[in-house]
Amino acid sequence: MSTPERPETPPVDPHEWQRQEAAMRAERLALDECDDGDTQAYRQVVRALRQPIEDGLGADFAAQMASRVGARRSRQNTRLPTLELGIASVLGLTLLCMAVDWTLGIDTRVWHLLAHSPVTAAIGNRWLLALATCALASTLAERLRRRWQQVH
Amino acid sequence: MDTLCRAPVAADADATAPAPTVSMGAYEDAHCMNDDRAMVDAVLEGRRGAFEALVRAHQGLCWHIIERIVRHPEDARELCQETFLRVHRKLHQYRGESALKTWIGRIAYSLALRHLEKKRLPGVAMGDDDEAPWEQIPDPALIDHNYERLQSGQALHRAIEALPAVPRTVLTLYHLDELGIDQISRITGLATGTIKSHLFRSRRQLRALLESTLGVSA
Repeated sequence: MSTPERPETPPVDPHEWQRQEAAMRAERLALDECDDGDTQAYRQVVRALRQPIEDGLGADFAAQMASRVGARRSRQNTRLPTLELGIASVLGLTLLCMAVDWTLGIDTRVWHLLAHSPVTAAIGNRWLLALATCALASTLAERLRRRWQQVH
Repeated sequence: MDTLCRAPVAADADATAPAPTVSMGAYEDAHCMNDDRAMVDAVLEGRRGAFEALVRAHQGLCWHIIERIVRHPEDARELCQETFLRVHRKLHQYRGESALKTWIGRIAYSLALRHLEKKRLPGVAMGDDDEAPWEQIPDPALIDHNYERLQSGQALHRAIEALPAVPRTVLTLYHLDELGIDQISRITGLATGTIKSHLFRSRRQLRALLESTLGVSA
Protein backbone atom coordinates (compact mmCIF):
# COMPACT_ATOMS: atom_id res chain seq x y z
CA MET A 1 0.00 0.00 0.00
CA SER A 2 2.84 2.36 0.83
CA THR A 3 4.45 4.32 -1.93
CA PRO A 4 8.23 4.51 -2.25
CA GLU A 5 10.01 7.15 -0.20
CA ARG A 6 10.38 10.44 -1.99
CA PRO A 7 14.01 11.40 -2.34
CA GLU A 8 13.25 15.02 -1.45
CA THR A 9 11.51 14.14 1.82
CA PRO A 10 13.32 16.39 4.30
CA PRO A 11 15.21 14.66 7.09
CA VAL A 12 13.67 14.45 10.53
CA ASP A 13 15.87 15.64 13.39
CA PRO A 14 15.87 12.56 15.66
CA HIS A 15 16.31 14.53 18.90
CA GLU A 16 13.46 16.91 18.18
CA TRP A 17 11.34 13.99 16.98
CA GLN A 18 11.91 12.32 20.34
CA ARG A 19 10.80 15.48 22.13
CA GLN A 20 7.64 15.57 20.03
CA GLU A 21 6.91 11.91 20.73
CA ALA A 22 7.63 12.33 24.43
CA ALA A 23 5.13 15.19 24.56
CA MET A 24 2.59 13.04 22.74
CA ARG A 25 3.01 10.17 25.21
CA ALA A 26 2.93 12.50 28.20
CA GLU A 27 -0.38 13.96 27.03
CA ARG A 28 -1.89 10.54 26.34
CA LEU A 29 -0.92 9.38 29.80
CA ALA A 30 -1.86 12.72 31.38
CA LEU A 31 1.50 12.97 33.12
CA ASP A 32 2.36 15.94 35.31
CA GLU A 33 3.88 18.90 33.56
CA CYS A 34 7.46 18.81 34.77
CA ASP A 35 9.17 18.68 31.41
CA ASP A 36 11.67 21.03 29.86
CA GLY A 37 10.47 24.07 27.92
CA ASP A 38 10.65 22.37 24.54
CA THR A 39 8.51 19.46 25.61
CA GLN A 40 6.09 21.81 27.39
CA ALA A 41 5.54 23.74 24.15
CA TYR A 42 5.02 20.49 22.27
CA ARG A 43 2.56 19.33 24.92
CA GLN A 44 0.48 22.42 24.26
CA VAL A 45 0.56 21.62 20.55
CA VAL A 46 -0.42 18.00 21.21
CA ARG A 47 -3.23 19.14 23.53
CA ALA A 48 -4.63 21.30 20.75
CA LEU A 49 -4.33 18.43 18.29
CA ARG A 50 -6.21 16.11 20.65
CA GLN A 51 -9.19 18.43 20.98
CA PRO A 52 -12.29 16.55 19.77
CA ILE A 53 -13.67 17.60 16.42
CA GLU A 54 -17.35 18.48 16.41
CA ASP A 55 -19.29 15.51 15.04
CA GLY A 56 -21.29 16.73 12.09
CA LEU A 57 -22.98 13.41 11.38
CA GLY A 58 -25.55 13.42 14.13
CA ALA A 59 -26.52 10.76 16.64
CA ASP A 60 -28.84 8.94 14.25
CA PHE A 61 -26.39 8.71 11.36
CA ALA A 62 -25.72 4.99 11.87
CA ALA A 63 -29.43 4.20 12.07
CA GLN A 64 -30.11 6.23 8.94
CA MET A 65 -27.36 4.44 7.03
CA ALA A 66 -28.64 1.05 8.19
CA SER A 67 -32.18 1.83 7.05
CA ARG A 68 -30.91 3.18 3.74
CA VAL A 69 -28.90 0.03 3.12
CA GLY A 70 -31.82 -2.11 4.28
CA ALA A 71 -34.15 -0.41 1.81
CA ARG A 72 -31.67 -0.95 -0.99
CA ARG A 73 -31.25 -4.59 -0.06
CA SER A 74 -35.00 -5.20 -0.04
CA ARG A 75 -35.27 -3.56 -3.47
CA GLN A 76 -32.60 -5.92 -4.74
CA ASN A 77 -34.31 -8.87 -3.13
CA THR A 78 -37.51 -8.07 -4.96
CA ARG A 79 -35.60 -8.11 -8.22
CA LEU A 80 -34.38 -11.67 -7.71
CA PRO A 81 -37.84 -13.28 -8.08
CA THR A 82 -38.25 -11.21 -11.25
CA LEU A 83 -35.17 -12.88 -12.68
CA GLU A 84 -36.32 -16.28 -11.55
CA LEU A 85 -39.67 -15.58 -13.16
CA GLY A 86 -37.85 -14.62 -16.36
CA ILE A 87 -35.95 -17.89 -16.45
CA ALA A 88 -39.13 -19.85 -15.81
CA SER A 89 -40.89 -17.94 -18.59
CA VAL A 90 -38.11 -18.67 -21.07
CA LEU A 91 -38.08 -22.33 -20.21
CA GLY A 92 -41.87 -22.48 -20.37
CA LEU A 93 -41.88 -20.74 -23.72
CA THR A 94 -39.30 -23.18 -25.05
CA LEU A 95 -41.37 -26.13 -23.96
CA LEU A 96 -44.44 -24.53 -25.50
CA CYS A 97 -42.62 -24.03 -28.79
CA MET A 98 -41.53 -27.65 -28.78
CA ALA A 99 -45.08 -28.78 -28.03
CA VAL A 100 -46.49 -26.57 -30.77
CA ASP A 101 -43.86 -27.90 -33.15
CA TRP A 102 -44.80 -31.46 -32.30
CA THR A 103 -48.53 -30.73 -32.61
CA LEU A 104 -48.12 -28.97 -35.91
CA GLY A 105 -46.00 -31.82 -37.08
CA ILE A 106 -49.08 -34.02 -36.92
CA ASP A 107 -51.06 -31.77 -39.17
CA THR A 108 -48.98 -31.94 -42.30
CA ARG A 109 -51.01 -29.31 -44.05
CA VAL A 110 -50.20 -26.71 -41.43
CA TRP A 111 -46.70 -28.03 -41.16
CA HIS A 112 -46.15 -27.41 -44.85
CA LEU A 113 -47.40 -23.87 -44.48
CA LEU A 114 -44.89 -23.13 -41.76
CA ALA A 115 -42.13 -25.44 -42.81
CA HIS A 116 -40.31 -22.81 -44.76
CA SER A 117 -40.49 -20.22 -42.00
CA PRO A 118 -36.95 -19.57 -40.66
CA VAL A 119 -38.27 -19.36 -37.10
CA THR A 120 -39.92 -22.72 -37.34
CA ALA A 121 -36.83 -24.14 -38.97
CA ALA A 122 -34.66 -22.83 -36.18
CA ILE A 123 -36.98 -24.17 -33.49
CA GLY A 124 -37.24 -27.40 -35.34
CA ASN A 125 -33.50 -27.86 -35.23
CA ARG A 126 -33.02 -29.58 -31.89
CA TRP A 127 -29.29 -28.96 -31.75
CA LEU A 128 -29.69 -25.26 -32.41
CA LEU A 129 -32.41 -25.09 -29.81
CA ALA A 130 -30.24 -26.88 -27.26
CA LEU A 131 -27.34 -24.52 -28.00
CA ALA A 132 -29.50 -21.43 -27.62
CA THR A 133 -30.96 -22.76 -24.37
CA CYS A 134 -27.48 -23.43 -22.98
CA ALA A 135 -26.25 -19.96 -23.93
CA LEU A 136 -29.32 -18.36 -22.43
CA ALA A 137 -29.09 -20.38 -19.24
CA SER A 138 -25.38 -19.56 -18.90
CA THR A 139 -25.97 -15.84 -19.34
CA LEU A 140 -28.82 -15.80 -16.87
CA ALA A 141 -26.83 -17.82 -14.35
CA GLU A 142 -23.94 -15.34 -14.59
CA ARG A 143 -26.28 -12.40 -14.09
CA LEU A 144 -27.84 -14.12 -11.12
CA ARG A 145 -24.41 -14.81 -9.62
CA ARG A 146 -23.36 -11.16 -9.98
CA ARG A 147 -26.57 -9.89 -8.46
CA TRP A 148 -26.22 -12.37 -5.62
CA GLN A 149 -22.70 -11.05 -4.94
CA GLN A 150 -23.96 -7.47 -4.90
CA VAL A 151 -26.70 -8.32 -2.45
CA HIS A 152 -24.38 -10.24 -0.13
CA MET B 1 -14.53 5.44 18.56
CA ASP B 2 -13.93 3.94 21.93
CA THR B 3 -14.64 0.48 20.65
CA LEU B 4 -11.81 0.63 18.15
CA CYS B 5 -8.36 -0.74 18.76
CA ARG B 6 -5.84 2.03 19.26
CA ALA B 7 -2.09 2.18 19.33
CA PRO B 8 -1.46 1.58 23.02
CA VAL B 9 0.79 3.64 25.22
CA ALA B 10 2.29 1.60 28.00
CA ALA B 11 1.11 2.85 31.37
CA ASP B 12 4.61 2.74 32.75
CA ALA B 13 6.21 4.35 29.72
CA ASP B 14 8.85 6.92 30.46
CA ALA B 15 7.62 9.99 28.63
CA THR B 16 11.10 11.40 28.30
CA ALA B 17 12.87 8.24 27.19
CA PRO B 18 13.52 7.69 23.51
CA ALA B 19 10.85 5.42 22.17
CA PRO B 20 10.56 3.51 18.95
CA THR B 21 8.30 4.91 16.31
CA VAL B 22 4.75 3.85 17.04
CA SER B 23 4.03 0.96 14.72
CA MET B 24 0.38 0.01 14.62
CA GLY B 25 1.07 -3.02 12.46
CA ALA B 26 2.33 -4.79 15.54
CA TYR B 27 -0.75 -3.80 17.49
CA GLU B 28 -3.30 -5.07 15.02
CA ASP B 29 -3.47 -8.15 17.12
CA ALA B 30 -5.54 -11.23 16.69
CA HIS B 31 -8.19 -10.00 19.12
CA CYS B 32 -8.84 -6.82 17.18
CA MET B 33 -8.86 -8.66 13.85
CA ASN B 34 -11.21 -11.32 15.20
CA ASP B 35 -13.62 -8.62 16.33
CA ASP B 36 -13.47 -7.11 12.87
CA ARG B 37 -14.07 -10.48 11.22
CA ALA B 38 -17.03 -11.18 13.47
CA MET B 39 -18.52 -7.77 12.72
CA VAL B 40 -18.05 -8.21 8.97
CA ASP B 41 -19.53 -11.71 9.03
CA ALA B 42 -22.54 -10.44 10.94
CA VAL B 43 -23.16 -7.77 8.30
CA LEU B 44 -22.66 -10.20 5.43
CA GLU B 45 -25.10 -12.63 7.03
CA GLY B 46 -27.60 -9.77 7.23
CA ARG B 47 -27.94 -9.89 11.02
CA ARG B 48 -30.23 -7.24 12.41
CA GLY B 49 -28.37 -4.19 13.71
CA ALA B 50 -24.97 -5.42 12.50
CA PHE B 51 -24.43 -2.74 9.89
CA GLU B 52 -25.64 -0.03 12.22
CA ALA B 53 -23.08 -1.22 14.78
CA LEU B 54 -20.36 -1.17 12.13
CA VAL B 55 -21.24 2.38 11.12
CA ARG B 56 -21.42 3.54 14.72
CA ALA B 57 -18.02 2.06 15.46
CA HIS B 58 -16.32 3.73 12.51
CA GLN B 59 -18.26 6.91 11.76
CA GLY B 60 -15.97 9.01 13.98
CA LEU B 61 -12.84 8.01 12.09
CA CYS B 62 -14.63 8.44 8.79
CA TRP B 63 -15.78 11.93 9.77
CA HIS B 64 -12.31 12.92 10.98
CA ILE B 65 -10.68 11.86 7.73
CA ILE B 66 -13.24 13.42 5.41
CA GLU B 67 -13.87 16.61 7.39
CA ARG B 68 -10.15 17.25 7.75
CA ILE B 69 -9.70 16.96 4.00
CA VAL B 70 -12.75 18.65 2.51
CA ARG B 71 -13.51 21.13 5.35
CA HIS B 72 -17.08 21.54 4.22
CA PRO B 73 -19.69 20.02 6.56
CA GLU B 74 -22.33 19.34 3.92
CA ASP B 75 -19.86 17.75 1.51
CA ALA B 76 -18.30 15.81 4.37
CA ARG B 77 -21.69 14.40 5.41
CA GLU B 78 -22.46 13.30 1.86
CA LEU B 79 -19.04 11.73 1.49
CA CYS B 80 -19.46 9.86 4.77
CA GLN B 81 -22.74 8.47 3.48
CA GLU B 82 -21.10 7.52 0.21
CA THR B 83 -18.25 5.87 2.12
CA PHE B 84 -20.54 3.62 4.12
CA LEU B 85 -22.67 2.76 1.11
CA ARG B 86 -19.48 1.71 -0.64
CA VAL B 87 -18.34 -0.18 2.45
CA HIS B 88 -21.60 -2.11 2.44
CA ARG B 89 -21.34 -2.83 -1.27
CA LYS B 90 -17.72 -3.97 -1.11
CA LEU B 91 -17.69 -5.63 2.29
CA HIS B 92 -17.54 -9.10 0.77
CA GLN B 93 -14.13 -8.09 -0.59
CA TYR B 94 -12.73 -7.46 2.91
CA ARG B 95 -10.20 -10.21 3.48
CA GLY B 96 -9.11 -9.30 7.00
CA GLU B 97 -5.56 -8.54 5.91
CA SER B 98 -5.72 -5.23 7.75
CA ALA B 99 -7.90 -3.81 10.50
CA LEU B 100 -11.41 -2.95 9.38
CA LYS B 101 -10.97 0.67 10.41
CA THR B 102 -7.92 0.90 8.13
CA TRP B 103 -9.92 -0.58 5.26
CA ILE B 104 -12.82 1.81 5.84
CA GLY B 105 -10.45 4.73 6.39
CA ARG B 106 -8.81 4.01 3.07
CA ILE B 107 -12.16 4.23 1.28
CA ALA B 108 -13.04 7.47 3.08
CA TYR B 109 -9.64 8.99 2.30
CA SER B 110 -9.82 8.08 -1.39
CA LEU B 111 -13.32 9.49 -1.77
CA ALA B 112 -12.41 12.71 0.03
CA LEU B 113 -9.24 13.25 -1.95
CA ARG B 114 -11.04 12.56 -5.23
CA HIS B 115 -13.73 15.04 -4.21
CA LEU B 116 -11.06 17.64 -3.46
CA GLU B 117 -9.37 17.09 -6.79
CA LYS B 118 -12.66 17.49 -8.65
CA LYS B 119 -13.83 20.51 -6.72
CA ARG B 120 -10.72 22.58 -6.27
CA LEU B 121 -8.25 21.71 -8.92
CA PRO B 122 -9.93 20.54 -12.08
CA GLY B 123 -7.39 19.24 -14.53
CA VAL B 124 -4.43 19.46 -12.16
CA ALA B 125 -2.58 16.18 -11.94
CA MET B 126 -0.44 15.02 -9.06
CA GLY B 127 3.06 14.23 -10.20
CA ASP B 128 5.22 11.66 -8.48
CA ASP B 129 7.83 14.18 -7.48
CA ASP B 130 5.73 17.26 -6.83
CA GLU B 131 3.68 17.58 -3.70
CA ALA B 132 0.06 18.47 -4.32
CA PRO B 133 -1.05 21.78 -2.77
CA TRP B 134 -2.97 19.95 -0.06
CA GLU B 135 0.22 18.19 0.99
CA GLN B 136 2.49 21.18 1.20
CA ILE B 137 3.46 22.65 4.53
CA PRO B 138 3.25 26.45 4.23
CA ASP B 139 6.23 28.61 4.93
CA PRO B 140 6.54 29.33 8.69
CA ALA B 141 6.91 33.02 7.98
CA LEU B 142 3.55 32.93 6.24
CA ILE B 143 1.91 31.29 9.22
CA ASP B 144 3.54 33.81 11.56
CA HIS B 145 2.37 36.63 9.35
CA ASN B 146 -1.17 35.28 9.28
CA TYR B 147 -1.38 34.70 12.99
CA GLU B 148 0.97 37.19 14.59
CA ARG B 149 -1.98 39.24 15.80
CA LEU B 150 -3.68 36.38 17.53
CA GLN B 151 -2.98 36.43 21.22
CA SER B 152 -4.97 33.53 22.55
CA GLY B 153 -5.03 29.75 22.52
CA GLN B 154 -7.26 30.00 19.48
CA ALA B 155 -4.12 30.66 17.47
CA LEU B 156 -3.10 27.02 17.55
CA HIS B 157 -6.52 25.79 16.52
CA ARG B 158 -6.67 28.25 13.68
CA ALA B 159 -3.18 27.30 12.61
CA ILE B 160 -4.18 23.64 12.61
CA GLU B 161 -7.22 24.51 10.52
CA ALA B 162 -4.98 26.47 8.15
CA LEU B 163 -2.71 23.49 7.49
CA PRO B 164 -3.07 21.80 4.11
CA ALA B 165 -5.44 18.85 3.95
CA VAL B 166 -3.02 15.95 4.10
CA PRO B 167 -0.78 17.12 6.99
CA ARG B 168 -3.89 18.17 8.90
CA THR B 169 -5.45 14.75 8.38
CA VAL B 170 -2.25 12.94 9.32
CA LEU B 171 -1.97 14.97 12.54
CA THR B 172 -5.59 14.23 13.45
CA LEU B 173 -5.29 10.51 12.78
CA TYR B 174 -2.07 10.32 14.79
CA HIS B 175 -3.05 12.42 17.80
CA LEU B 176 -6.84 12.35 18.03
CA ASP B 177 -7.59 8.89 16.66
CA GLU B 178 -4.31 7.55 18.03
CA LEU B 179 -3.52 5.53 14.94
CA GLY B 180 0.03 4.38 14.33
CA ILE B 181 2.17 5.54 11.44
CA ASP B 182 1.79 2.15 9.72
CA GLN B 183 -1.98 2.41 9.87
CA ILE B 184 -1.98 5.97 8.57
CA SER B 185 0.26 4.77 5.78
CA ARG B 186 -2.29 2.11 4.84
CA ILE B 187 -5.13 4.60 4.90
CA THR B 188 -3.42 7.36 2.94
CA GLY B 189 -1.13 5.30 0.74
CA LEU B 190 1.73 7.60 1.75
CA ALA B 191 5.12 6.19 2.69
CA THR B 192 5.81 5.99 6.41
CA GLY B 193 8.76 8.37 5.96
CA THR B 194 6.47 10.93 4.33
CA ILE B 195 3.99 10.64 7.19
CA LYS B 196 6.77 11.04 9.74
CA SER B 197 7.97 14.09 7.86
CA HIS B 198 4.46 15.60 7.83
CA LEU B 199 4.13 15.02 11.56
CA PHE B 200 7.56 16.40 12.36
CA ARG B 201 7.33 19.53 10.22
CA SER B 202 3.76 20.38 11.17
CA ARG B 203 4.38 20.00 14.89
CA ARG B 204 7.59 21.99 14.72
CA GLN B 205 5.81 24.81 12.90
CA LEU B 206 2.90 24.78 15.31
CA ARG B 207 5.37 25.02 18.17
CA ALA B 208 7.13 27.90 16.46
CA LEU B 209 3.78 29.63 16.04
CA LEU B 210 2.99 29.06 19.69
CA GLU B 211 6.29 30.61 20.72
CA SER B 212 5.88 33.60 18.48
CA THR B 213 2.26 34.38 19.31
CA LEU B 214 1.82 33.22 22.87
CA GLY B 215 5.29 33.93 24.15
CA VAL B 216 6.11 30.36 25.16
CA SER B 217 9.84 30.01 25.53
CA ALA B 218 11.66 27.13 23.94
